[in-house]
Amino acid sequence: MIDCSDFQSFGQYFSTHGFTDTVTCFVQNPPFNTANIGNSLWMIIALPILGAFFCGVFGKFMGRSNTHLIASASVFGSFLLSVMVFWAVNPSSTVAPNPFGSTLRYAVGADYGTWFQAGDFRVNFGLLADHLSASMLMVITGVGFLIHLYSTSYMSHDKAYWRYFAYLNLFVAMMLTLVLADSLVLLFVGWEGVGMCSYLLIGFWYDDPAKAFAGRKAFITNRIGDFGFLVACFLLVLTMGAFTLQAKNNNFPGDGTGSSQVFKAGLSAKGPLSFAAIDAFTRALPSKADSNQVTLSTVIDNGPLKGFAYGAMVTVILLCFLLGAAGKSAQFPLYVWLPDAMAGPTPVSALIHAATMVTAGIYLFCRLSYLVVLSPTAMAVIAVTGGITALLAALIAFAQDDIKKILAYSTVSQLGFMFMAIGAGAFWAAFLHVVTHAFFKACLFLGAGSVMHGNAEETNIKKLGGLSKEMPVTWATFLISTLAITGMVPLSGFFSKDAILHALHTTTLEGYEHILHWVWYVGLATAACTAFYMMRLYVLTFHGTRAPDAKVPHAHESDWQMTLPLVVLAMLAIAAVAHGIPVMENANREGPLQTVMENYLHPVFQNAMRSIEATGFVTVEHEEGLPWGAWGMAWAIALAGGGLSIVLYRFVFKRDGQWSGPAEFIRSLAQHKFYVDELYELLVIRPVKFVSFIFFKIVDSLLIDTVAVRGTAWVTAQTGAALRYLQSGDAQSYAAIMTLGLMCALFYALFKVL
Amino acid sequence: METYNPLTGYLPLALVFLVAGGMAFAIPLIASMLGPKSVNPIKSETFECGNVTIGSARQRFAVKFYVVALLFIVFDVEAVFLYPWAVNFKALGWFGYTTMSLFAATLIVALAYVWKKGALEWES
Amino acid sequence: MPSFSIQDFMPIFPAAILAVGAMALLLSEAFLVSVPHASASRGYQAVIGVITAAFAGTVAFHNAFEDPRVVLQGFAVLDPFSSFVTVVVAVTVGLAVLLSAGFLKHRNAERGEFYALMLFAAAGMSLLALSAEFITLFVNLEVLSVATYALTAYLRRGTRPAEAGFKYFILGAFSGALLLYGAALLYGATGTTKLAGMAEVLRAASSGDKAWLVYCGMVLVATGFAFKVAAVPFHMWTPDVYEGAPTPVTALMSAGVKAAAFVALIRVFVALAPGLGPQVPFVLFGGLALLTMVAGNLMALPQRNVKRMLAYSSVAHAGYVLLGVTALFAPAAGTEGHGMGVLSASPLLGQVPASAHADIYKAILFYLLGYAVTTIGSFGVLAALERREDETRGTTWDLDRFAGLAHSKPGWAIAMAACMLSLGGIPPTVGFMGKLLVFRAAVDAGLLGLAIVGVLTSAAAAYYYLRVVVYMFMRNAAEGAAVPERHWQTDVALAVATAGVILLGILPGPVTAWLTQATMLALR
Repeated sequence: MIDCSDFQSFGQYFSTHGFTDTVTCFVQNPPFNTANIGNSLWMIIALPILGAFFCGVFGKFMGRSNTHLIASASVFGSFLLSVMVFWAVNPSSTVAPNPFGSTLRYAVGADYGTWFQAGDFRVNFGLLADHLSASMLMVITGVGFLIHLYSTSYMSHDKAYWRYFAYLNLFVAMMLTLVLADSLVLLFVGWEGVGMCSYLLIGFWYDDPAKAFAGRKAFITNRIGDFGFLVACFLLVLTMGAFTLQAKNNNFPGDGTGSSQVFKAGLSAKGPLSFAAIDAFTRALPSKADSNQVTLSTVIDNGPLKGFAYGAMVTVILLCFLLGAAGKSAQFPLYVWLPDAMAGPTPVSALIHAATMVTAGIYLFCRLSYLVVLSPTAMAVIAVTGGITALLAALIAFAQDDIKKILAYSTVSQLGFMFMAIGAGAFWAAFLHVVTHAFFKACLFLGAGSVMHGNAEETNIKKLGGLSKEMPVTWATFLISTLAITGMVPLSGFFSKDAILHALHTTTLEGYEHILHWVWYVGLATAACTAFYMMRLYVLTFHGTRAPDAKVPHAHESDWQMTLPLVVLAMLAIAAVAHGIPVMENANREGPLQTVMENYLHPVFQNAMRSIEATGFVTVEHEEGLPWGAWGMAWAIALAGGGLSIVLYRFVFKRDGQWSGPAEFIRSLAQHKFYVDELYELLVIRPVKFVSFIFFKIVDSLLIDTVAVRGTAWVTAQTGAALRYLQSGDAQSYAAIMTLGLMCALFYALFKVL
Repeated sequence: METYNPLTGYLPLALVFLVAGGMAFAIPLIASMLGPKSVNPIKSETFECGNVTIGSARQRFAVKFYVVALLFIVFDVEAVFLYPWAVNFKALGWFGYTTMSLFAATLIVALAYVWKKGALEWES
Repeated sequence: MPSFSIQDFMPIFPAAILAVGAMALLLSEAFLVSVPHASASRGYQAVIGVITAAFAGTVAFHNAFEDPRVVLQGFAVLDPFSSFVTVVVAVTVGLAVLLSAGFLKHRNAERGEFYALMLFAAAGMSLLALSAEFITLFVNLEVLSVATYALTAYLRRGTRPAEAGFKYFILGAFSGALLLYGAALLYGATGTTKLAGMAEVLRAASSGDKAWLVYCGMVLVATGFAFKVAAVPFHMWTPDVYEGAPTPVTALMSAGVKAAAFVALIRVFVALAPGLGPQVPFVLFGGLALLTMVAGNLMALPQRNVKRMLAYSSVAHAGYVLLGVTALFAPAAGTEGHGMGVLSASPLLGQVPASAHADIYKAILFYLLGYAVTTIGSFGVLAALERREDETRGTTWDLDRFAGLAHSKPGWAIAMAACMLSLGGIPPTVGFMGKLLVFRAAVDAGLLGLAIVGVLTSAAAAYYYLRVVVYMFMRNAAEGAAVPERHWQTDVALAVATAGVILLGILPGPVTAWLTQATMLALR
């Protein structure tokens, strides 16, 4: 442990201690009081909301530059606050309130009171920032700000700029809500909010029916996932309710931090869907077999879930969450919306569909890591889903010619990698890949946007070529990012991807001994494919001669607002290496050296690790020293894939090369995306359309619209019209009607008396 | 036991109304039933000492007539209130004096308004 | 020799102030105006009217915190209800005077008499609300009625105002006579005209030998009030008169007259009901409420004439207040009055507790205030949009006049939209809070069926209210539509009314707290 007690300032400490110690002590000593920062968390969300309000309502009147200023400044303000939060969660003295007894270190949070309540069920409005959220905050606001800056130039010719920036700000706010939420309900608000913003931005140019349709597709696919999310939440509430009634005192640790009273008090204070409650629930469950307590194999004895085992319910809940995460994070079989989402403006693709929103599913599983590790079945399914997605998307990317489509499939593929890591229980590796991927994929997308901007919106890579001289900055940054994603050694992508592959290789799930091994092979193959198609994209775009059917004879380099973010992101793609090198001593005081990211996220995942120890579902084979062998293999694979691609597309095929024989068949399959969309059409959309046609014609059109809605309206209107005839305008008839009413009343009164 | 009914005192009045109303209907009825009827043009003519009628009998009165009539009623009612006060002047004392002064003042305001507006001038 | 103290006259101070203001305006018209037909020299008259109303309202507000007591030998009462209604009336008449200033100037018809009549009518309303004796009550009802008859026919050049004024006068006289007849019958049965005395006699009378007199009298009195509040089927005059009257006068009638008449009605029937079979006033008002809510809304539906639509809407809103009144007489659980379909009071909470009555009073009074503010705002926009040239064509108040208002006059459009939302009972407006309070009071009293009818009809009502909003915000103005003139008085009145509609909708707390305090005081 490093002793930071005599840390005063950076320079003074540096002269006596080493660089690493100095940096560690620096980040652990924020120069401000961290006690009350939890109460200010709402401001991080409020700033972009305010920005969205001003841009959306007054943007049209404020003019372009004022809108740009407000939109960017609000995100930048958020970024500054995020930096403070990021700093504030580092000292071990920072503790967030937790009504469930245990101490929540390395976190700040605030509970703003009851949000809504129905009977025993309550939901509080609370925000929480721990190391996981704080890192996400930095990525969202940092990358978000760069993309705002980029957009000021990219959208400089669009008439509806104010709408664009309002949506973009709203998206940032919703994403921040998602990561700052301290309960699944508030997370779901952010979850839906980002989905809505994504829909609005994909269909931003709604004049074009194809683009509007892409937005709709994204929204509907996400709704399927959201259904899974909601079902998972409901089941979770029911399971926890059953547990509350069934739990025995032995379920709770005897060190004074937990008892069933404390658990119930916590539930009534925070509600069952808060992360603190789920954490407490999962901490109580996986104890060693003991007849005197509830374990995963205990059968629920009350409520609507009576008869199911707790472990089975956890598996079902996780699979439902997987459906939700697959929708949001574009996993098989719900990934189909993401490639179409490229219809939106390119910065949107970079921010939403590469760097932030699509990682929400990974964030969710990291957040619920303590729940995930309770079900090896679910973990295996997650890993396999990730594997299928990664390979399938990589294969499709082989045959695409649209620069944004390739990047989109590459995103899907990389998200598959992250799911593999979740399946192996290597949450930190998944998250490390989230961060590095955010940097280099945002850079790639923005680079693609820059290419399009300089080439009259041309997206076909076969009609580009030779741009390295004409767009030097775009070229250099694009190269760095491409190397990063392919996994070249000194770049961040190498370490994050290797961390995932390494975890897959060394981890075994109880009951599914060989699954992760097979997934590992898939991962290796995908890594080779990634290197291949990314180099293909790079070579065809930036090298060779300029295509004869290019839209403009000479490309132009973009403005500083566009190139500056590229440079910053490329530098970050390099600098993120620092997270991935194993230099930290193990937080558990034993075992091999940890990467910075693993060490940093240790407080977040320690409950999951404790559960793994308790259940023994996941075993990790530790190696001594650094994994030189694995590194070497990963590097060789990437090099082989990338090298083959360079040789083929630079020297053999050039631009117009065609494959032949069986390769041609696979290529054609891949070009048509393995006919997944057509399969959907046949299996899902047609039947649904048929059933909805029936419902539309008979139930909706006839029964509801005609009979119920228009029928009532018609009857009402007719009665009203009929009553008008009484209103003749004749005073005598008015008096007569009054008298009639009077007579009725008199008759009734007298009838009562006599 | 018979309770006091405040309506009992009005019974004679009701009788008077009944008789008067009955007479009003009965006398013309009886007259027309009993009287001999012989109608001829000469009988319908204007009698020798009368004047030949000029124009329609259904003439509109000038609106001023109504205004004057209204004012007459207002001050008539005022007189109705003033008499009992005058009779009980001593008993009512200062309270009565103040009340009646306010009442009269209100009417004086009305009179001033009407006067100034020219409603009292028949020819304008 | 009766003895009076200054305390006895406290409740009538606001009315006295209004009357003095009115007389000052009359005299100013007679003595100060040199040029008979110019508006220029009459600018101060509206100001005098507003100041008088404000002064009266302040005094009434002060009175609202007095202990409730019977004054003037039982002829009047000083209690929070009457004081509150006087405040509402003062606000209403103040805003109506402001609206009139622009309205009349535009027609070159500004005269002191108009404002004076408005103030006299307001004095009548204030006095009606505090009358506790039938002759006083009738005289005050006539004071207010005669003033409104004259105001209705004020713009005597057109045919509509004359017709409206005449109809109102004839039918008003008819209903007045009914009320008077009812009062006479009640006097015949009890030997007194004071409400307190009547209540005593009715409560003491064990045998029902004069019950038929009482019941007939009560029905007749109820009829008289039902005419004033425009309850179906005694509402027939409403659309014609509201349409024909000058729009600011319509606003005053629909807000002020209704509020005062409702309080007088409640006062009379709460005093008399304990001596009667409990289910008779319940069925009487329940039936009126049911008919009024349903018919009022149904008849407003097909209207394209916004002024007539608002007239029917005024009828419908009387129905909602009557729903609150019915709740006051809801029979307790287990007594007669069950099994009557929509009218039945189902024992949701068992015996209706005394505190529920406080909630009902609070709901009714809040509803009256909210409705007054809203109706002033909506008729105000209508008045501002009117043009004299159109009046002969009958299209003055057509929906099309509202098309594109959001572009040409965004401020007025927002005011009108707020008022329409409020009338429709949509948050965040005062109309929503009012409906919420009334419906909740009705449900607490067990009137589930009537409350459901109320909710359903107000849902249907949203159609015709929102149609106006749709026209203002989503239709384009017709070619060559004239831009209406603006007057600062109109703008001030609309701003105040809109602010009231929205502020009371968002922050009803201070007013409801005051009403809770006041009703608790009164029921103690």
